[in-house]
Amino acid sequence: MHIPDGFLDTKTWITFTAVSGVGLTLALRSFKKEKLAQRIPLIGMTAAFVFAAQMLNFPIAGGTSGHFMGGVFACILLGPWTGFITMSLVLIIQCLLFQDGGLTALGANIFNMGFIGSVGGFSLYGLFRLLVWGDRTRPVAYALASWTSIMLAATFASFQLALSGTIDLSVSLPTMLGVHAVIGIGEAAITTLALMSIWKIRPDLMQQVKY
Amino acid sequence: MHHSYLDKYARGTTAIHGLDARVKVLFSFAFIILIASLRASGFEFYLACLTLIAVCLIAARIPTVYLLTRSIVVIPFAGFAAISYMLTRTGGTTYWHSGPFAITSEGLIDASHLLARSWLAVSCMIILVNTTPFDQILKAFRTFRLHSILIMLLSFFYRYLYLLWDESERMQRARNLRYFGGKPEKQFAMLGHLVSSLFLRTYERTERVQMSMLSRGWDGSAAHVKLKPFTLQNVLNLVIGFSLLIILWWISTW
Repeated sequence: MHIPDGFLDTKTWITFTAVSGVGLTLALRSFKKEKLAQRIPLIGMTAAFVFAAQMLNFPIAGGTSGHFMGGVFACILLGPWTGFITMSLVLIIQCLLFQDGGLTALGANIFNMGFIGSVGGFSLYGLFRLLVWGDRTRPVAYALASWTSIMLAATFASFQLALSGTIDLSVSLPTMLGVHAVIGIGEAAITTLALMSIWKIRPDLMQQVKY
Repeated sequence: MHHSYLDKYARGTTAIHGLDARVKVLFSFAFIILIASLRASGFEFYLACLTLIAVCLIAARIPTVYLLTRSIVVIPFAGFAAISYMLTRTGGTTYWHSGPFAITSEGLIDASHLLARSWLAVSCMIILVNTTPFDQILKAFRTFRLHSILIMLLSFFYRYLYLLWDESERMQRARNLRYFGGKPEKQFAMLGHLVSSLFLRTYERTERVQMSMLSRGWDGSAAHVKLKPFTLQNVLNLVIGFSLLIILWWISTW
């Protein structure tokens, strides 16, 4: 759902660039200087990890393949703000080096996938944790949160396209949600399985984040 | 490393490679913003932009095939969006219609403009990163007052990107060698393990890197990058670049 250049009109991309710029600056400011010294290698390398993990494809029906987005995964392991910065870095590098997502649409993409897709998904995870109890049902919360995060991000992307007058909401919303409902299943499966296996191997990592 | 670099032509020696990174970054960003914000213009504008891209491509000695294969990334999303755009536009001659959808001449023209815009922007970005080493781009961002921590994080990212990418390819190859297909749920379980072990390897590497950085006296501040002074020649190049953009804008009003 990386929006390319030319699909958002001037008012939409300027608005979302400003919103994401302010959000990112606030997230970076929220780190204290001494804490940051310990965090910089971690964030930079986790972002590179998310990028590398997105290279691992899984087959979807009909010869196509999907890959994992990793927003909720990063947030659950690193905390919501670090996760947001990580995902923003991934999107910036994808825009600059990989040309996946346009420069003018970068703000909108960071808002959709970086903010809504990870911090939004993470808050949903908190909500779903209230609904399910105990460690046995933990995977349910992971799966629901990551699936919903993809759907939310897709919804926002179609709203932005409609706001720019590119694609009518009546067309974009059903198609985007339809496609991403399937992609979201893959995301949910991988996020859940990966988190469960980390939980088995290094449970200490998952208790570091206070939430 | 078997995968091709994302910016494998970045360290060339042509005149375009020799231009100051700040000039190139400013010019390309302004070019992309111009393309993205101009709507419904005639095909002369796209032709002029294409000429500009082609001239840069030839001057920088980047193979055309490379540009074309790299710019395929826009297809999945842009293609989908252009098709839905085409189907919902009305006006002009109608070629086909069913229910709320129709293919009209207006729709075809607008959809092709949409595709042309995103393709031109992607090509411009490909040329930028293939004529400017990434550390130079980051230094240029630094002079534009981008958050210093963000720059540091981006350079870390770039430093470990290829390393982890290799790691993920090695793991994928190991999986393919030992694993002969299977049911979808089995495949997902395998992928989950791959992702988690990739993360753990990254995390453990981070701990080592961080320890060694701290033990060498790193205090979390960025090393100061010295940039070459912005000479008169750079100002002149920038002026030429922006006059080109003004000409493009003028063409779009035809």
